[in-house]
Amino acid sequence: MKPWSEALRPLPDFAPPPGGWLDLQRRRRRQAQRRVALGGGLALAASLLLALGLRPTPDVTPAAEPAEIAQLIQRSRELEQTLAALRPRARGWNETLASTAALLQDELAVVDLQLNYADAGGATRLWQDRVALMNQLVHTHQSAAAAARNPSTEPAEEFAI
Amino acid sequence: MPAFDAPLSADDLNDARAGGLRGQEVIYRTFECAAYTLARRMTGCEQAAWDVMQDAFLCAFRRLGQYRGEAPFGHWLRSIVASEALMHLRAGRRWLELFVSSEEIGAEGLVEDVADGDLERALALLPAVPRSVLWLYHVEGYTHAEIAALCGRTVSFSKSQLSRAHAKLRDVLRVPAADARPANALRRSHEALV
Repeated sequence: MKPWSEALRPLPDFAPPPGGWLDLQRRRRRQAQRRVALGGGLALAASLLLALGLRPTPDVTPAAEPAEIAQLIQRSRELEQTLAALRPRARGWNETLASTAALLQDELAVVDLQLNYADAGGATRLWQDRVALMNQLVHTHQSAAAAARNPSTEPAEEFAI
Repeated sequence: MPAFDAPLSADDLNDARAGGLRGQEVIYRTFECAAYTLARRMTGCEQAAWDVMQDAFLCAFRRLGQYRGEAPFGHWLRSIVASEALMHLRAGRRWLELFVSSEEIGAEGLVEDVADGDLERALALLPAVPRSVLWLYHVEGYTHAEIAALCGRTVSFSKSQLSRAHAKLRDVLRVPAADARPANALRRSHEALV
């Protein structure tokens, strides 16, 4: 008998395919080209708007992005507080509600992980995802709280979250 | 064994930080095998491991300024590779399917001598998340708290995933938790198929 680590550590490494460094340079060039293309597209769109006498709306200017993220973060915090208040009352879990809540919590965990590595553009989308997921999670808890208040709709089996 | 502990000279690191291709290539060649192995163990797929490794290096080179030297460079890089692999699992929409019940399944325990080939086959049969936790914990030396932080989950999540991985491995290897006879059972089943 031996610990799992002693059994696993001697397993051999996998050799990466050859040419990795050159492939990395190609990937980097493609990323740079995409950034240039994206920048060019934005510049062209801005020129067209100006030519048409239109100004970009505040929520599409780069300076507005942090404000949008701040709003999303604030909304996310409010939903967290709502959820914390709901938890003690949410006692009417059935299998569907419980599995839905568990899946939502898994999704939230991954979004939180991704937020650690997101750039500004990606962060906006991730915070939007987080708020949407939190909304759904609050809704499942509200349903579980409602089921607890109304025993006639309460499921036969309860699940703890 | 993955070589994330491999040393890196200050000259190479500084060159890479300044955007120098020479320093970055030294880093790449020093850690590509370790990075690929970790990605392959976590994703269980050659092509995915290749993409995860390359994305991790691109990410690391972009963020080299954030590395402050508090831990060995390889450990910093390893966390990026692990994060990229976890993100890959989610991007493939396979993430949710790969989570297993959070219930505790027994103690960590020990395993009897198992042939490497048997263990490789058994690992390939594990769901990706328990396999990733198993590898990060036993081979890369992550603590449960570190794995939990990496996954954005609780410590009990990490512990339950590890326990589940042990249980699944024992099941595949046909190792009773207390009295294990793993390799022979697997070998017998293979021989029966031949």
